[in-house]
Amino acid sequence: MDIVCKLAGKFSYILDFIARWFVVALMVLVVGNVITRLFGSPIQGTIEWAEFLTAMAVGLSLAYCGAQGGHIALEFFVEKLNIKVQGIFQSVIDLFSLAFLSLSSWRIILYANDLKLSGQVSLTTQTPYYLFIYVIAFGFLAYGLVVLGSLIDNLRKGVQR
Amino acid sequence: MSPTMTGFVGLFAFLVLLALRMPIAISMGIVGLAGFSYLVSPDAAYRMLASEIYTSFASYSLSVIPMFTLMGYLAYQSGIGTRLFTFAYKAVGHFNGGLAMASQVACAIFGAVCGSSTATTATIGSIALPEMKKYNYDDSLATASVAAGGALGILIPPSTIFVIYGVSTEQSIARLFVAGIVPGILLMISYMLAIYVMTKRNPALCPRVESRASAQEVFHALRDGLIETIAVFIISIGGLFMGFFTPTEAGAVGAAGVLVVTIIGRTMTWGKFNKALADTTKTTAMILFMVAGAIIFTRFLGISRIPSEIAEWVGDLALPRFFIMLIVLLIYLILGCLIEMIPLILLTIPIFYPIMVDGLGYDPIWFGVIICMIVAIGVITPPVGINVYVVKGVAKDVPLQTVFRGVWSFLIAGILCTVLLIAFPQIVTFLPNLLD
Repeated sequence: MDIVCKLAGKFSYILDFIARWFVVALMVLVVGNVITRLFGSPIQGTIEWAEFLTAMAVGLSLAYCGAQGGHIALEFFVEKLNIKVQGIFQSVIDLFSLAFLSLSSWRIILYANDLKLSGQVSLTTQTPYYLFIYVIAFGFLAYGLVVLGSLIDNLRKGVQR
Repeated sequence: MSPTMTGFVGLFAFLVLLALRMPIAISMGIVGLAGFSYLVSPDAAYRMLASEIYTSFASYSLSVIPMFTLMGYLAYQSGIGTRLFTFAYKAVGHFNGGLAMASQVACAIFGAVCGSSTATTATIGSIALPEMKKYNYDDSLATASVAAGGALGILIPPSTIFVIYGVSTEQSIARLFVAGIVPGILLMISYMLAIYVMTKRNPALCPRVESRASAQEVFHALRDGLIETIAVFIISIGGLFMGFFTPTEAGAVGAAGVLVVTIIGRTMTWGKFNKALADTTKTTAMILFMVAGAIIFTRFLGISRIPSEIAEWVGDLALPRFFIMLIVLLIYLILGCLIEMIPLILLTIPIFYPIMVDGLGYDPIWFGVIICMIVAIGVITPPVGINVYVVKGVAKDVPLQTVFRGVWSFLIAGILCTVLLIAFPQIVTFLPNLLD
C-alpha cells in the first residue's frame, strides 16, 4: 500500500477519534442542560455549543468515513464492468473528488477569514465562529488526503497491470 | 442556455457522476457548485458553498442525528437484540411461522430504540436467522421476513428519515415521530399477516409450531433486562411528545439512559462503547455531508427554476389530484428500487413537496409518512434493496435470489398497507392532531 494511503488512513483515524469525544461532549452538554433546567438554571449557550460540537464532530469524521468507504455511492452500474475499466473510472472520480474537496477546503478557509475580520461571534457566549469553520476546512483537507491516497493507489495498480 | 435547460444538463451530469460511483454527497456538491457558478457567478457560488457547508454541519436541528444514532448503536452493542427476540418469541412464537413473526415484533421494538433499518436488520437477523435455520424454516421466508421487518424502524420513532424530512420541509419532528407510530404498527401487523397466510398455505415453510408460553413466562422474558431499556425509550420519546424535550435533547437523554442502563447491567465494555462511537461518527458524517451536498444542489435547482416549472406543469394538467399523487408515489417506488433512502428523500423532496403540499394541498405530515412507507418498501425491492444485502451479509450461504424470492409477499403487504393509509389519511393524522 502506498505511503500516502497509509498516512491518510492513520491521520483520518486520529481525527475521527477526536470527533468521537465531541459526540460524547455533545451528549453530556445536552443532558447537563436538561438536568440543570429542572433546577431553574440551564447552561447558557447550550444550543450554540451543541452546534459547534456537531460541526467539529462531522468535520473531523468526514475523512475516516471516506477511508472506510462510508460515503454512499451507487455500485450497481460500475460493478458490472471489468476491473481495468473500473480502475480507470475510479481514478477519474477520485480526481474530480480531490479537486472538489481541495476547492471546498480553500473556500471554507477564506469564509472563516472573512468572519474573523468582521469579528462575528455567537450571540450568547460570544464565541468566534471562525474557529469551528477552520476545523471543518481541516476535515475537508484530510478527506482530500484520503482521496489522494486512493488515487495514487489506483494509478499504481493500473501501471502494474 | 436558459436556466431550466442548464438545470436539466446539471441533472444529467449528476446522474452520470452517480453511475460512475462518485459518492452522492460529492456528486451533488460538484454539480450544484458548477451550475450555480454558471447561472449566478463563481464568487457567489464559492460563498454559497462555504456557508451552506458550515450551516449544515453546525445545525442544532440536525444535531439530533448523532444523538439518536448513538442511542441506537449503544443498544446494538449491548446485546439488547437477543433479549428482545426471546421476549417476542415467548409472546407470538405459538402462531404458524412463530419465529418469523417474533422477528417482526423484535424488529419493531429494536427499531424504536435504534432508528436505523440496517442496524435493526443486522442485529435481529444475526439472532433470528440461526434460530429459524435450527427449526428448518424455509430460507426464503426466514431471510425475507428479517429484511422486511428491519425496515419497520423507518416508521417507528425515532426515525432518521423523519428527521431529514422534517428538517428539509420545516415540519415538526415530534409530530412526524408521533404520526409514524400507528402506520409502523400497522405495517408490522401486515407483515405478520403475510407470514401467517404464507405458512398456512404452505406448512412446509415452517415445520415446527411451539406451544403457547404462559403470561408469566412472557412477563419474565420482558423483565430480564428489557424493562429498563424500554423505560429509557419511553422517557426519551415521551418527553419529546409531551414537549418537555427538543428532538436533540430526547436523543441525548436516550443515549445517556441506554449507556447508564448497559453499564449498570454490565453489558457495555470499553471496546463496545468505542465501537458504538465509531459507528456514530461514521453514520453522522455520511448523513450530514449528504445533507450539505443536497442543500448546495437544491440551491442550484431552485435558481434553474426546475421545481417551479414542474409544479406549474403539473398544475396545468387536467388530471384529478388523486391521480397526480399516484404518479408521484409510483415515481418514489421506482426510485426507491434504485437509490438509497436518505439521498432519495434529500433529492426528491425539493421537487415533489411543493407539488403535493403547496400545489395539491395534501397534509405535509401525512405526505411524510406515506413517503417513509414507500421508502420502507424500497429497502427490500431489487436491485438496491439495502436490507436484502444486509441479510445476505448475515446469512452468507443463502443466495441473493432466494431472499428476493421471499420478499414478494411482504411487498404486497406493504403496498396494501400504503393503500389503506391513502384511503384513510386519518390513520396517520389523528395522533399528531391530538398533540395540538
